[in-house]
Amino acid sequence: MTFTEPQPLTDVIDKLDAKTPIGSAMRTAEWERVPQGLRDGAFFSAGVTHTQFLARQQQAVTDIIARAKETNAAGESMWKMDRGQFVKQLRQMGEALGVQHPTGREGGIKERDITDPLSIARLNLVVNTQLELAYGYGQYVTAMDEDVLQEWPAWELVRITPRKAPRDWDKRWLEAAEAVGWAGVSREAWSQGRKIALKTSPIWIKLSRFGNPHMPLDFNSGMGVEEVDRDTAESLGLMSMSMNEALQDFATLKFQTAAQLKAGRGRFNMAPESQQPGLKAFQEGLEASVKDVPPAMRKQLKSIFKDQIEIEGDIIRWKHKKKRTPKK
Amino acid sequence: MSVSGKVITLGLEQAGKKLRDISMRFAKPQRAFKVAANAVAKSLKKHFRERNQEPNAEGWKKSGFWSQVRDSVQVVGDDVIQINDPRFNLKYYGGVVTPKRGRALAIPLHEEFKGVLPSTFPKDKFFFLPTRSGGDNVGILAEALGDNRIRAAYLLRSKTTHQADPDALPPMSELQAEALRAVQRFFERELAKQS
Repeated sequence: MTFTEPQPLTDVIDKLDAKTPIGSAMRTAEWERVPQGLRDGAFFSAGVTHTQFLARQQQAVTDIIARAKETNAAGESMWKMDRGQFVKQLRQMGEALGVQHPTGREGGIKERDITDPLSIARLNLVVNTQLELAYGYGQYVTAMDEDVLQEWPAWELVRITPRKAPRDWDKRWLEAAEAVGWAGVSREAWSQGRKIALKTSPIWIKLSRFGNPHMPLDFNSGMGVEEVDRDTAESLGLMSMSMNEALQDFATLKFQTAAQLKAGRGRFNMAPESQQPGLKAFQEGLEASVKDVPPAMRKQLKSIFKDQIEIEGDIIRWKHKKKRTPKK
Repeated sequence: MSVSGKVITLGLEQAGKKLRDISMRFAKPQRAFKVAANAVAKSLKKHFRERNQEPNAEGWKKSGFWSQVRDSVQVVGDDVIQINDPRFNLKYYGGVVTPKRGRALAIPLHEEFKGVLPSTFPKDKFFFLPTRSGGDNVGILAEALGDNRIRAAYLLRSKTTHQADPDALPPMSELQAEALRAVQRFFERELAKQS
């Protein structure tokens, strides 16, 4: 075993860095109606309008992932940020900025109220979810590598953390599978009580509260995926079904808003020339979703986000969208 | 324990001569290392998932520590598997933890304070009770509950000592075997394509 200095998680940090803090009074359900291309590029939190507060959250999450260090007064090295410091520092900052509860705050902060942006429960939810999303993206990038995909073409949805009141993931799986026409989803596995699908199946986006093809699928879900090897995928009929059919579906699907996907309306639709599965397809889908936003929705987005958003021709983007600087 | 930032990375040089011998027969051997790295990452995630089923030692609601460690398993480049969560180091190595920001470490005594620094709360929420027992115990942070009742919220200690967890990682032999199996399958498929 070789112990080395940590390597930077460049893909993960770049993805996080590229997000623009966007303040809005919108709640989670309303954010789900924002085109995925915009939503993916935003760092937001339901009901939080202070972009400075959001920017600090974004930097703090990045510091955790980057394993950033600093030195204390005694000259000792210590972690610059961790989950406990996140809650403490963001709470203090929020109080200083006057971050309010969306419906008012009587009698002080109720620590278990996740609708209060400054409660312990909410701040823990934010840091845990943001870390899960960031790491989930990093694992997705690896999982969709061509050679890795060849050896492990599918995932199985499994429980990672027990929950006292778990969501009904069997029901969600069945509904999602039917909504995507079982494209890339194993009926054989389902008959055995297992939830297995090709990584490129549209079911993963359909299941996701966040509109992503990677984990996590929902807040505090306790669910995750395990890789399914090619031999198992073949025995479950996934390879014969074919990966090609699922990829074709995936490559020709258009990213609608998460709410539209959930309602079963619309289909994924990407640039016809983009037939490559996986990460490239996902990224191209994000760009396409922004380009094809209808006029009524553009007007609505402009009214909600005001000067945080800009429209240039057929493109809608966050006004202060960060550009990723290629690493030298 | 030194918070030096060292991570446990499983360089696949340790997968053995056999892996190198197999891979050098192919034009792009790094592809094999990538597959091997993913196999090891998969095994680690499976192991951490199993660890995450263990109940909390105090009977409290689980924080999902092992799930969070599992999430942080990342493949970097072609052949490095990184467990990015720095808390894992203490599990693997064991060690002594000392306070870096305050004057004492605060050990929660109730579930609601788990993972929450005392300084998160308003300054007047707790009051300090020094201990006479000596040793590493510094005192207690107590909370007034009303009706002249108080409760101890945090135990304050000058340091805590942790034993290395022998099951922090699966056996290295198991990880190496997974890596080799994955590479062998990969090359069998590559050879089948070429024939």
